[in-house]
Amino acid sequence: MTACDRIELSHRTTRLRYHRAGGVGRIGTDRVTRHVQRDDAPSGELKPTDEMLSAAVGRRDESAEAWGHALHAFEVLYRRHGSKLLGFLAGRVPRGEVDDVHQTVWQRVWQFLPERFDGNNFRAWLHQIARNHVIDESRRKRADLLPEDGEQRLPDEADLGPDSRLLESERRDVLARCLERLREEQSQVVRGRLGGDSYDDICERFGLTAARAHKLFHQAKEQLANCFRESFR
Amino acid sequence: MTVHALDVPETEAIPAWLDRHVVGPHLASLVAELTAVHGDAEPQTLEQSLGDRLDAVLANGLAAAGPEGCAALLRSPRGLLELQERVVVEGGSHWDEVASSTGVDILLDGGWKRLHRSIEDDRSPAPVVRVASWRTTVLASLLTAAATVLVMLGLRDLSSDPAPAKPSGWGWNRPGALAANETRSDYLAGLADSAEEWFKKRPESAEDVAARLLQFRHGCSTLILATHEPLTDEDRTWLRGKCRAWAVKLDAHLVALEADGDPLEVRAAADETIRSLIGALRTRATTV
Repeated sequence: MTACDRIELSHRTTRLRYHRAGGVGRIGTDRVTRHVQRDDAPSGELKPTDEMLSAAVGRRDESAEAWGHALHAFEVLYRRHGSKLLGFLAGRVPRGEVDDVHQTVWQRVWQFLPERFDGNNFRAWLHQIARNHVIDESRRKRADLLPEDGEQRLPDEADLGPDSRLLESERRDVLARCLERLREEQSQVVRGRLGGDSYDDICERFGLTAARAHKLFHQAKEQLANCFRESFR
Repeated sequence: MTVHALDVPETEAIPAWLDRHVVGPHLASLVAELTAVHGDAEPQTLEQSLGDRLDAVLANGLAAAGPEGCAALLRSPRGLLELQERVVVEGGSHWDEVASSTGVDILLDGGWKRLHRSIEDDRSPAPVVRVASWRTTVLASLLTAAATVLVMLGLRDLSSDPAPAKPSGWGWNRPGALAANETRSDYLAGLADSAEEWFKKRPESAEDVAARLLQFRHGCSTLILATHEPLTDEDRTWLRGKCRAWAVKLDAHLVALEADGDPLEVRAAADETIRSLIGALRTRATTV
């Protein structure tokens, strides 16, 4: 019995349909109920590690049953790591491409796992696939924009770092212009609050009452939100 | 358009608020906004901001950074992007719990369906077209479209209010949009032109954006169910697969709107989706 066979849970079930191996003319789908273990299952219940799950995915071609186990294990990996990966990608690719890039990354994980994953630290491997794909896409787009004289500058690893992938420069510039329209008092309170200062700290530093500080921040928020919204119409 | 930084809570709640942003989809926007507030003159690295508390933060979240650490990250916000990457690779179970509380699971549900289908499609031999299986596909698509309308609008009685998803006569639902007497490339280019009609109206309220999205989504069902006579079998398979993928994305935009998402932000996201599908259609039209 494999590790995946021993997985049982009480909190959530997922019905998986999969096709049994066969050619055209096979009977059809067999509905098989498997239980996907949520990662918040009570302690004491077996929780497969990433490495156990990836081992099951790697054995997918051994039999039809192994294929079913592999899909099941892959879904656990996907749900376990997908949300954090989505957040990572959302900060590094255009908004409309995040889902497609996320999908492509997981397709590559499925494709390359049996041959290229060494069984250690699945998360680091997943992250590397995502980084490489984002870099490749960035290079491809830059190549499309080469000047006519053919001068090329390929991006290097540093282009994936925070300094180069800030895709929200327009948002930053608009907000900066809106901030310039605030009165000095409002601006001081905004910088304090968005710098992690408490109202007590702000009041003491600028000689304000608590009521005054709250009012200034509330007014500034409204003004900034309106200015920001108008700038993007 | 939401300014995420303006939602900053009271000081004691800042660590949990930042935790949600580190695993959420809006961190880049927050970093841009904080950079606008504080400038970028002397950025600190993540290690400089957190010092020897970094390991504790990776294990237990930003509560372990203390007020000084959180303030350092707010003032030098690019460290938050570094932290996001470190969390993907090294974050403890705390970050999994935070991620699951952001409601992104619903996007993963749709994403898993697409992924599962693509894995099975890559494995299966080319399907033999049979009338019985076509009917099953039609029925499944109709049920999916109907269920989407009901869930998104919370309809109880279809006779009581007009359904916004009725064909409105634009885009792919416009009479003549799927003309059978065109060449293959003109047909695909025509589909792209029809999709461009999305940009002719720019709704701003949540209700109007939802109605426009549902109308476009209905157009996807029209494409999935149509016979596409000018196209080859390979084109039809490609087009229907793409329509299903686009339909999942449009459903996700509707979900975001229903979850009190900013209508202009949702519309902007839908714009990107639709520009992407227009590009795919035009590219396909020019391939031999």
